[in-house]
Amino acid sequence: MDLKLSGKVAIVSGGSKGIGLATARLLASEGATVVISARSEATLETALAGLSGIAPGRVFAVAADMTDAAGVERVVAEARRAAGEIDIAVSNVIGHQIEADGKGPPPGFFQTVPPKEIQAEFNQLVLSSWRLARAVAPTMRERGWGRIINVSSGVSREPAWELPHVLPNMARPAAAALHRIMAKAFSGSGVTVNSILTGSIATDRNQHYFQWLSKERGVTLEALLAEVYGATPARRPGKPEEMAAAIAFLCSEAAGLINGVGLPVTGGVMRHIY
Amino acid sequence: MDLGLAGKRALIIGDRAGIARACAQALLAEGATVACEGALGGKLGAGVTGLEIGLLADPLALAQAASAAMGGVDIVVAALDFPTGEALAFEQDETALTQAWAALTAMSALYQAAAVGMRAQGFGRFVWAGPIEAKQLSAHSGDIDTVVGMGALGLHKVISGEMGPFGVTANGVLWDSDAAGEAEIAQAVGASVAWLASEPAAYVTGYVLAVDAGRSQGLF
Repeated sequence: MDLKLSGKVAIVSGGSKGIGLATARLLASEGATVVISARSEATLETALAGLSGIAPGRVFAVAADMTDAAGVERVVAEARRAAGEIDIAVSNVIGHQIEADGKGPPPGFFQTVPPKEIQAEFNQLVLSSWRLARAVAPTMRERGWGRIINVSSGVSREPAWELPHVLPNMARPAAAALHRIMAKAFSGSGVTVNSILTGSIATDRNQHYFQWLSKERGVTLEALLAEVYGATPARRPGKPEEMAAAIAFLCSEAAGLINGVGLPVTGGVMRHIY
Repeated sequence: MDLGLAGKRALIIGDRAGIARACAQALLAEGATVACEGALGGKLGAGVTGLEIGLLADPLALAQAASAAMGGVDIVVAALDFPTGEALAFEQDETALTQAWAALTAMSALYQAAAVGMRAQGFGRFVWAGPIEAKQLSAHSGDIDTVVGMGALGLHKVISGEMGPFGVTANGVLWDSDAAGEAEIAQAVGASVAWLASEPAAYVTGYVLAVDAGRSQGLF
């Protein structure tokens, strides 16, 4: 399928590894010019070197913290300078990390979460994606074309109460509402606003999480993964490339009437009927 | 139906006085003891103890004061929205949205404090009475209610799962201001809140009950 992304300019935050890197790679291979951002210059350099091999002269990198308003402004400004006006913005940030103190249950449960972390998570997950959209969408609307994608989670629709995820269990649904409101505001303008919902994916971050969880439950990692993927119809974790494929499709010309959706790429694990 | 609420101790928080009053009176009619936060003091009718601490000012102190005043807290009713009437202009700054989320954070802190005693005694009820905009787009306004409301629904879903083993339920009751007159809606919400707080409703948790005369186009 020709996604008709040749010549489009895309920003991908969190673009140095995992889903972000896979997305950058796929968009670049479809002919887009891609600007990746991440906090670490070192991982960005490695990612950039790899991407430049498949899309020489069409990949740029900006080191910035996209959960910070100044970081968003800088990435957008530098992307515009390097590549021109933005057609696609993929917001791919993760939430606030709380360190466990080892004195009790993990702080990510309702009973133990420090309330100030609830505000911090809102800033990092909800405001960050809104800031990126606000920085690029008005110009997209003037030009009559744009794609805003939020990399979200299945918990935005089905909060996982059994996991120490109270922070994203609150912030992701809120971000989903925000994107739905934006989508309605932009309906018919040529700009679409969509999300993909991720489940269990084979990324470093998820592996670290499962290792921690297996210790908490006193089971082997293998036993835990068998339980997790046994409950997933696809019987396996998702691949970053599969998330990227969904993102790229939503960015395509053909997906122009798809707006305001949260597309689950979760191997069938979600239970809601629609 | 005996709702098993005689002697139960309910704390009402929020700023929707009409809704809060209906909830308070419904609970009092079933024999519950009712206290309310500072913002609602004097507005909920006879029989309600007004605590002088506001939710937004000091949620922990409010929880402690409620427990001290009533000998414990079994039920928390949050008649709270975030606020209504605010459309989220795309160019709008973040202040209103951030402040609204801070109200949710305060509510979460109070819930957390109240949950300790509920867990210990093996009974608890959290009911949030909010606007229908928490779960659907509104034609005219309420965007901040939608964004922050979804965060509130996430919180209640988490509590429903995490606190389920301890006899604690968490549900939402969402009212549609266009569904009927103000008084009729308040009464319907009050009755729904009282029922969800009841003993017989112990197996209903993590649910969002719409009080909207079936006006929504959604199937659920």
